[in-house]
Amino acid sequence: MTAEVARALVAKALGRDTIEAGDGLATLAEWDSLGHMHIVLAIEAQRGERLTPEQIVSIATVADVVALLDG
Amino acid sequence: MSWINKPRDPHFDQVLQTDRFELRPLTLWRTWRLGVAKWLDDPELANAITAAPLRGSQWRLYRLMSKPNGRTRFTYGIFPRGSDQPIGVESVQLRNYRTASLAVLIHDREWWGKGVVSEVRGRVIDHLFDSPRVGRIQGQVEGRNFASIFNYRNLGFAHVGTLHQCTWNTAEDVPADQLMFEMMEDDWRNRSEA
Repeated sequence: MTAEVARALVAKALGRDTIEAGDGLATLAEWDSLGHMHIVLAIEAQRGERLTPEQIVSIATVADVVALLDG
Repeated sequence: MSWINKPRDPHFDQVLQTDRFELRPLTLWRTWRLGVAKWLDDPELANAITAAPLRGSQWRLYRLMSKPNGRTRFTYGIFPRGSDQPIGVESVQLRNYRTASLAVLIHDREWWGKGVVSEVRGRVIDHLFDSPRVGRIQGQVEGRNFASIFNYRNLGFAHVGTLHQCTWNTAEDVPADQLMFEMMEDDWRNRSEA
Protein backbone atom coordinates (compact mmCIF):
# COMPACT_ATOMS: atom_id res chain seq x y z
CA MET A 1 0.00 0.00 0.00
CA THR A 2 2.79 2.39 0.93
CA ALA A 3 4.57 1.56 -2.31
CA GLU A 4 1.52 2.60 -4.32
CA VAL A 5 1.22 5.84 -2.36
CA ALA A 6 4.93 6.51 -2.88
CA ARG A 7 4.74 5.87 -6.61
CA ALA A 8 1.70 8.13 -6.93
CA LEU A 9 3.43 10.83 -4.89
CA VAL A 10 6.57 10.76 -7.03
CA ALA A 11 4.60 10.58 -10.27
CA LYS A 12 2.54 13.64 -9.31
CA ALA A 13 5.62 15.57 -8.15
CA LEU A 14 7.39 14.87 -11.44
CA GLY A 15 4.34 15.36 -13.64
CA ARG A 16 4.39 11.78 -14.96
CA ASP A 17 1.55 9.33 -15.47
CA THR A 18 3.36 6.31 -14.08
CA ILE A 19 6.45 5.50 -12.05
CA GLU A 20 8.17 2.15 -11.64
CA ALA A 21 9.36 0.94 -8.25
CA GLY A 22 12.98 0.85 -9.43
CA ASP A 23 13.01 4.38 -10.82
CA GLY A 24 15.18 7.12 -9.35
CA LEU A 25 17.07 10.28 -10.09
CA ALA A 26 19.52 8.33 -12.25
CA THR A 27 16.81 6.91 -14.52
CA LEU A 28 14.18 9.64 -14.84
CA ALA A 29 14.86 12.79 -16.84
CA GLU A 30 12.05 14.56 -14.98
CA TRP A 31 13.75 13.90 -11.64
CA ASP A 32 15.81 17.10 -11.78
CA SER A 33 16.52 19.67 -9.07
CA LEU A 34 13.02 21.16 -9.18
CA GLY A 35 11.45 17.71 -9.31
CA HIS A 36 13.50 16.69 -6.32
CA MET A 37 12.28 19.73 -4.41
CA HIS A 38 8.66 18.83 -5.22
CA ILE A 39 9.25 15.25 -4.04
CA VAL A 40 10.75 16.32 -0.70
CA LEU A 41 7.92 18.77 -0.06
CA ALA A 42 5.32 16.14 -1.00
CA ILE A 43 6.86 13.61 1.41
CA GLU A 44 6.84 16.19 4.18
CA ALA A 45 3.19 17.01 3.47
CA GLN A 46 2.29 13.32 3.51
CA ARG A 47 4.14 12.71 6.79
CA GLY A 48 2.98 15.95 8.36
CA GLU A 49 6.47 16.80 9.56
CA ARG A 50 9.78 18.04 8.26
CA LEU A 51 12.43 15.57 7.20
CA THR A 52 15.83 15.63 8.83
CA PRO A 53 18.85 16.56 6.67
CA GLU A 54 19.97 12.93 6.69
CA GLN A 55 16.55 11.79 5.45
CA ILE A 56 16.60 14.42 2.70
CA VAL A 57 20.03 13.31 1.52
CA SER A 58 18.90 9.68 1.46
CA ILE A 59 16.25 10.26 -1.24
CA ALA A 60 17.47 8.98 -4.60
CA THR A 61 14.91 6.34 -5.68
CA VAL A 62 11.24 5.51 -5.32
CA ALA A 63 12.28 2.81 -2.83
CA ASP A 64 13.79 5.54 -0.63
CA VAL A 65 10.48 7.39 -0.72
CA VAL A 66 8.67 4.19 0.32
CA ALA A 67 11.06 3.80 3.25
CA LEU A 68 10.44 7.36 4.41
CA LEU A 69 6.65 7.02 4.17
CA ASP A 70 6.85 3.73 6.09
CA GLY A 71 9.00 5.35 8.77
CA MET B 1 45.99 38.59 1.35
CA SER B 2 48.44 35.68 1.33
CA TRP B 3 47.39 34.93 -2.24
CA ILE B 4 48.80 38.18 -3.59
CA ASN B 5 52.38 36.89 -3.66
CA LYS B 6 51.38 33.80 -5.61
CA PRO B 7 51.64 33.74 -9.42
CA ARG B 8 48.46 33.52 -11.47
CA ASP B 9 47.59 29.97 -12.45
CA PRO B 10 47.02 29.80 -16.24
CA HIS B 11 45.17 26.50 -15.86
CA PHE B 12 42.27 28.39 -14.37
CA ASP B 13 42.34 31.16 -16.95
CA GLN B 14 41.06 28.82 -19.65
CA VAL B 15 37.60 29.08 -21.19
CA LEU B 16 35.71 25.82 -20.69
CA GLN B 17 33.11 24.43 -23.09
CA THR B 18 30.07 22.26 -22.45
CA ASP B 19 27.32 21.19 -24.83
CA ARG B 20 25.19 24.26 -24.14
CA PHE B 21 27.48 26.71 -22.37
CA GLU B 22 30.77 28.53 -22.44
CA LEU B 23 32.38 29.00 -19.03
CA ARG B 24 34.46 32.15 -19.09
CA PRO B 25 36.84 33.04 -16.27
CA LEU B 26 35.82 36.40 -14.87
CA THR B 27 37.95 39.03 -13.19
CA LEU B 28 36.71 40.90 -10.16
CA TRP B 29 36.15 43.94 -12.37
CA ARG B 30 34.15 41.90 -14.87
CA THR B 31 31.92 40.37 -12.20
CA TRP B 32 31.21 43.87 -10.96
CA ARG B 33 30.42 45.09 -14.48
CA LEU B 34 28.07 42.16 -15.01
CA GLY B 35 26.20 43.09 -11.84
CA VAL B 36 26.68 39.72 -10.15
CA ALA B 37 26.45 41.28 -6.70
CA LYS B 38 23.02 42.69 -7.56
CA TRP B 39 21.73 39.17 -8.31
CA LEU B 40 22.06 38.58 -4.59
CA ASP B 41 19.44 41.22 -3.85
CA ASP B 42 17.00 38.42 -4.68
CA PRO B 43 16.24 37.04 -1.20
CA GLU B 44 15.27 33.63 -2.57
CA LEU B 45 18.66 33.28 -4.24
CA ALA B 46 20.58 34.68 -1.29
CA ASN B 47 18.84 32.47 1.20
CA ALA B 48 19.47 29.40 -0.96
CA ILE B 49 23.20 30.00 -0.80
CA THR B 50 23.55 30.69 2.86
CA ALA B 51 21.10 30.74 5.72
CA ALA B 52 23.33 33.18 7.55
CA PRO B 53 21.94 36.52 8.71
CA LEU B 54 21.01 38.75 5.80
CA ARG B 55 22.32 41.93 7.42
CA GLY B 56 25.10 43.13 5.15
CA SER B 57 24.65 39.92 3.24
CA GLN B 58 25.04 41.35 -0.22
CA TRP B 59 28.68 42.17 0.38
CA ARG B 60 29.19 39.04 2.45
CA LEU B 61 27.82 36.91 -0.33
CA TYR B 62 29.73 38.89 -2.92
CA ARG B 63 32.93 37.97 -1.13
CA LEU B 64 31.78 34.37 -0.87
CA MET B 65 30.67 33.93 -4.45
CA SER B 66 32.45 36.33 -6.67
CA LYS B 67 35.78 37.68 -5.61
CA PRO B 68 38.12 36.03 -8.07
CA ASN B 69 41.81 36.78 -7.56
CA GLY B 70 43.29 34.48 -10.23
CA ARG B 71 45.34 32.63 -7.61
CA THR B 72 43.06 30.89 -5.13
CA ARG B 73 39.58 32.08 -6.11
CA PHE B 74 38.13 31.72 -9.58
CA THR B 75 34.73 32.58 -10.97
CA TYR B 76 33.39 31.23 -14.22
CA GLY B 77 30.55 33.10 -15.91
CA ILE B 78 28.01 30.68 -17.39
CA PHE B 79 27.20 31.96 -20.88
CA PRO B 80 24.75 30.13 -23.14
CA ARG B 81 26.48 29.58 -26.47
CA GLY B 82 26.08 32.63 -28.66
CA SER B 83 25.16 34.92 -25.77
CA ASP B 84 27.12 37.58 -23.91
CA GLN B 85 24.76 37.60 -20.95
CA PRO B 86 25.64 35.14 -18.19
CA ILE B 87 22.83 33.16 -16.61
CA GLY B 88 24.90 32.47 -13.52
CA VAL B 89 28.35 31.92 -12.07
CA GLU B 90 30.26 28.95 -10.73
CA SER B 91 32.90 29.90 -8.17
CA VAL B 92 35.88 27.82 -7.14
CA GLN B 93 38.10 28.35 -4.13
CA LEU B 94 41.37 26.45 -3.75
CA ARG B 95 42.03 25.57 -0.13
CA ASN B 96 44.82 23.82 1.73
CA TYR B 97 45.69 20.14 1.24
CA ARG B 98 44.66 19.94 -2.45
CA THR B 99 41.05 20.73 -1.59
CA ALA B 100 38.74 22.93 -3.64
CA SER B 101 35.26 24.12 -2.76
CA LEU B 102 32.45 25.06 -5.12
CA ALA B 103 29.59 27.52 -5.09
CA VAL B 104 27.09 28.10 -7.86
CA LEU B 105 24.46 30.73 -8.52
CA ILE B 106 21.94 30.51 -11.38
CA HIS B 107 20.12 33.82 -11.34
CA ASP B 108 18.11 33.37 -14.54
CA ARG B 109 14.98 31.49 -13.49
CA GLU B 110 14.30 30.45 -17.08
CA TRP B 111 17.19 28.01 -16.67
CA TRP B 112 16.16 26.50 -13.36
CA GLY B 113 15.42 22.79 -13.48
CA LYS B 114 17.18 22.33 -16.83
CA GLY B 115 20.29 20.54 -15.70
CA VAL B 116 22.57 23.58 -15.89
CA VAL B 117 24.39 22.88 -12.64
CA SER B 118 25.06 19.23 -13.43
CA GLU B 119 26.40 20.09 -16.89
CA VAL B 120 28.51 23.04 -15.79
CA ARG B 121 29.78 21.56 -12.57
CA GLY B 122 30.72 18.29 -14.26
CA ARG B 123 32.96 20.19 -16.66
CA VAL B 124 34.46 22.34 -13.90
CA ILE B 125 35.21 19.26 -11.78
CA ASP B 126 36.93 17.58 -14.74
CA HIS B 127 39.05 20.71 -15.13
CA LEU B 128 39.84 20.95 -11.42
CA PHE B 129 41.05 17.37 -11.24
CA ASP B 130 43.27 17.99 -14.28
CA SER B 131 45.24 20.35 -12.03
CA PRO B 132 47.82 18.92 -9.60
CA ARG B 133 46.53 21.46 -7.08
CA VAL B 134 43.23 19.60 -6.58
CA GLY B 135 42.64 16.06 -5.31
CA ARG B 136 39.45 16.61 -3.34
CA ILE B 137 36.38 18.80 -3.80
CA GLN B 138 34.04 19.74 -1.02
CA GLY B 139 30.65 21.38 -0.85
CA GLN B 140 28.64 22.78 2.02
CA VAL B 141 24.89 23.17 1.61
CA GLU B 142 22.13 24.57 3.75
CA GLY B 143 19.92 21.70 4.91
CA ARG B 144 16.75 22.98 3.19
CA ASN B 145 18.43 23.79 -0.13
CA PHE B 146 16.89 20.77 -1.87
CA ALA B 147 18.05 21.74 -5.35
CA SER B 148 21.67 22.01 -4.32
CA ILE B 149 21.50 18.76 -2.35
CA PHE B 150 20.11 17.09 -5.46
CA ASN B 151 22.92 18.45 -7.59
CA TYR B 152 25.65 17.11 -5.32
CA ARG B 153 23.96 13.71 -5.05
CA ASN B 154 23.33 13.57 -8.80
CA LEU B 155 27.03 14.17 -9.46
CA GLY B 156 27.99 11.37 -7.08
CA PHE B 157 29.27 13.42 -4.15
CA ALA B 158 29.29 11.58 -0.84
CA HIS B 159 27.46 13.06 2.12
CA VAL B 160 30.17 12.99 4.77
CA GLY B 161 28.55 14.82 7.63
CA THR B 162 25.99 17.25 8.94
CA LEU B 163 26.59 20.33 11.04
CA HIS B 164 23.41 20.60 13.07
CA GLN B 165 21.97 24.03 13.87
CA CYS B 166 25.29 25.65 13.04
CA THR B 167 23.79 28.72 11.39
CA TRP B 168 20.59 30.71 11.23
CA ASN B 169 17.90 30.77 8.58
CA THR B 170 16.69 34.36 8.62
CA ALA B 171 13.86 33.67 6.18
CA GLU B 172 12.17 31.36 8.69
CA ASP B 173 13.95 32.67 11.79
CA VAL B 174 15.04 29.21 12.89
CA PRO B 175 18.39 27.44 13.36
CA ALA B 176 19.65 25.76 10.19
CA ASP B 177 21.80 22.73 9.44
CA GLN B 178 24.63 22.48 6.94
CA LEU B 179 25.35 19.32 4.94
CA MET B 180 28.92 18.46 3.97
CA PHE B 181 29.65 16.73 0.65
CA GLU B 182 32.93 15.59 -0.87
CA MET B 183 34.31 14.04 -4.03
CA MET B 184 37.75 12.46 -4.25
CA GLU B 185 39.69 12.50 -7.52
CA ASP B 186 39.83 8.69 -7.85
CA ASP B 187 36.10 8.39 -7.24
CA TRP B 188 35.37 10.99 -9.91
CA ARG B 189 37.60 9.32 -12.48
CA ASN B 190 36.14 5.89 -11.73
CA ARG B 191 32.66 7.33 -12.08
CA SER B 192 33.54 8.99 -15.39
CA GLU B 193 34.93 5.73 -16.78
CA ALA B 194 31.93 3.66 -15.64
